[in-house]
Amino acid sequence: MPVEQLLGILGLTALCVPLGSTLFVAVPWAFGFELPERRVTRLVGGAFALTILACLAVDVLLIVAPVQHTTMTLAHWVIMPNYSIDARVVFDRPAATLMTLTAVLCGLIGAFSGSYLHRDEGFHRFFILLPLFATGMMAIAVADTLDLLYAGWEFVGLSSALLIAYFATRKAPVRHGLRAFAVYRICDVALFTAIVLLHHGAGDASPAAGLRLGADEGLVVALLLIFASLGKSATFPFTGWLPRAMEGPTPSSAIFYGALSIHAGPFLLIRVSPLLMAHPAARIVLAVLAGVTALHATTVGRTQTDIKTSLGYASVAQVAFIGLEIAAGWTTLALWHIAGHAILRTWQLLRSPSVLHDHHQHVALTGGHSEHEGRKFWLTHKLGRRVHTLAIERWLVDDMVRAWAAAPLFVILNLVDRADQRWTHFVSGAKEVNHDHR
Amino acid sequence: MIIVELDIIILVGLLLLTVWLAIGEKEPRRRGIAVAAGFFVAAVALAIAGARGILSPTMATASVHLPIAALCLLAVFGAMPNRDATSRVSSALIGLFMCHAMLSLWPASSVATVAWVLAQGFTWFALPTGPARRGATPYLALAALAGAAGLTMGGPVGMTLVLLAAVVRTGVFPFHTWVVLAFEEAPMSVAVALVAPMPAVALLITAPSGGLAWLGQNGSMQFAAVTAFSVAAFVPAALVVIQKRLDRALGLLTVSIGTVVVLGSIDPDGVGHVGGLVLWSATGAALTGMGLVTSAIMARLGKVRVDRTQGLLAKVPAFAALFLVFALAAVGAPGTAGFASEDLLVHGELAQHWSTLMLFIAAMSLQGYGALHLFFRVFFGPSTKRWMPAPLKRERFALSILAAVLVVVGLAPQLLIGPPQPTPVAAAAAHGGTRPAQPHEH
Repeated sequence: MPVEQLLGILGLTALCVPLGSTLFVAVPWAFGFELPERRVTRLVGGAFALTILACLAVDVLLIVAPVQHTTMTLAHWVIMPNYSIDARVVFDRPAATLMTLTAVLCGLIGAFSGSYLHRDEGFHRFFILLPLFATGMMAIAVADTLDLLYAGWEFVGLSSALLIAYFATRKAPVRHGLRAFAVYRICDVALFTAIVLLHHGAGDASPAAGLRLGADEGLVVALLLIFASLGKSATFPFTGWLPRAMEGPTPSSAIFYGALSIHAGPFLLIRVSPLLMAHPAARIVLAVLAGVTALHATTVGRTQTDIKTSLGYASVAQVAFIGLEIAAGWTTLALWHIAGHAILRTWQLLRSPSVLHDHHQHVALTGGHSEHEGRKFWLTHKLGRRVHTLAIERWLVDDMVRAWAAAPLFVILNLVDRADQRWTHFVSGAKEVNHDHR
Repeated sequence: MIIVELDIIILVGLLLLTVWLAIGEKEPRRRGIAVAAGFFVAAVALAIAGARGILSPTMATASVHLPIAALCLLAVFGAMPNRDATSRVSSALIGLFMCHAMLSLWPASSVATVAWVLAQGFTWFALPTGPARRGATPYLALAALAGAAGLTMGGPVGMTLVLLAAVVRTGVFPFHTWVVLAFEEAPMSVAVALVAPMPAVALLITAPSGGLAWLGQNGSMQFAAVTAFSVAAFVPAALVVIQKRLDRALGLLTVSIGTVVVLGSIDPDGVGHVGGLVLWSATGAALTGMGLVTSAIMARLGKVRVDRTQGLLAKVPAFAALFLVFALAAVGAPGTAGFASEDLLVHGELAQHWSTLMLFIAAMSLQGYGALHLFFRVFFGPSTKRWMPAPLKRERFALSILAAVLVVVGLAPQLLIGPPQPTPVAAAAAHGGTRPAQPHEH
């Protein structure tokens, strides 16, 4: 069997097996027949085991086979006389890295969550959404067209929002899930627009297609792709949703905001790095945004009082450094950084419920001298206190976004809706008109 | 000959059924079952006709509208609360279906003109007396007059009038008032049956071709039209998130999605046009599904508020799952039929105007947010209701068929578009192969 064909089969396995396990759990659940927990964990665990094997086989093939960069069309999704949408995939080192990382970490999280979420009300929901998320990440990893990447991107966003609202009987997680989804949708506009411009200007939406665009159009597409990556990677000014996303269960926080989802943005930029290299202005924009985010997240993360939020901001700071590496053109280093950071952060977040226990043990082992007290920075005392206060308030970024963007929008919408209801009242003669707005 | 015989059998059968229901059967449950069975037979007959090539199963003609409309109406009657399936509503909806059939089978003829006017009459008749009917009267009259005049006149002016009729009938902002009123005041399942199949799109695509050519030839006019439709899709989608009641929010979401479909159906570019047509079928079924789940919930709880969470997930997980599938299909999420169609739509003529393109994509993105917003508000949060009856078998059956259709077509959209015709690009891609390594891989 040719290597390309074998890679295709393995890639298809890695893409479809998690999706299949989602359907196996979801369909009976939706109709009121919940599978026993043990069967669910075995089913999902088995699916991830198969996926891990497929990914490892892809790794081995890419290492030993003479071809290190293979593209293939898994399926022609839509074919028209002058246009086609293909499920075209690529197997190369970035793809293999993210695929393996996704399979291994999702498998570990699945195994961990089987007991962590035992008898929890949302147990089945979690095991429906985890493989769905893995499918989305696999699609992002292997996509050779931004169309397929966008499909995976949407799966990741949807499963993320639904898992933030995992504790569905509380108000705050529901609100925060919607907030995260709103940020994703804002940034998705840029990604979808970039895809359309690539199709229109370059003939297809492969990551390398941007190089065929003119200078101005290429720069616009590069900037759109940078903007698209901001949402999922919680880059400034979209950092505010991340601490709120920690409302979800710890395993999902680990896999989404420590390990994989948060790296989807940098991975997109690694994929389109040839386009970024061709446009220094885009790289400068990326570097500035990443630098601001690194400063912001570092200061905020060090002043937070709960471990998950602190780790969340630490993740953002690292992702910002990865962005700086991409802006500098060090994509291989960025890929290594993604892999190392994902593994470390997953461990830290999974360990976070035991942080007090760990801390006490650490203090006891070191004889009570482990705490670093009174560390001095180069800031003056007065300035240091001010920075500290602002960092606790997260530099008021959320307040500014709310006051300058969200509030005026809602005022306008309420005015339009009120006028619309008055017109409805006039046309229909209805006695009750609902003027009560939020 | 076979075409005539089959069409006549279907139409006469439905006519007899209508008459029998209107004057004979008084028991709502039996009436609902009989009507559902009638539509099921019609849908099967039309599907067979499509498979045998009598009616084209592809989007190249409007005939796909018939099975989709039949499927939507089958779902409506399968899941409609018994109290809503009155003689008046049943006969009006069957009459409306027959008008859809006439519009598709005999386009650009005097039959189409009569069918269009009659369709507006049946729509008016199906609405309950009161604000919904009063509010709809001027809009439906305008749609009927503009459509009839346009079809009779023909040419650029006639087609512009047809476009106006389609805009009013679909409820494109700012002509959306009657649609939102129908969702607020009429039974939800009736409102959905009147609006979701979007018969005006059939009128647009079956009307004489070339009538709207002036729109494609005049660049500034085309830009203005695309911008106007983008704004018209954006505003109601944005209004969804500030609504207090689910029925009104769903009406606004329907209006926004309908605007996207109308824009696709007038797109002179082949890709965008096919995208619009696939979106028409996909959203027709998806909006029907959303409306029916809402209808089932409202039949149990009354009006549902969305300015606060309702927490229905634990009580009716089946409705939650189905609502999510329909909502995602309606807004073009991956894995559903809407995804491919939105992709096709924006790659058509819209791509020419990329400054407007972002507004249009923003509108579609807002629709997605609005749909998930409604899902979260209805099914998540602390529960405020103590008990709620489980979904009925017929509700599960009808809604599951719709959901399955949407997912299958989403995974294989070529089923709607027609047999694949490999292009040079696709053929080259099909061979796969290797390419030189890129800078980032070193």
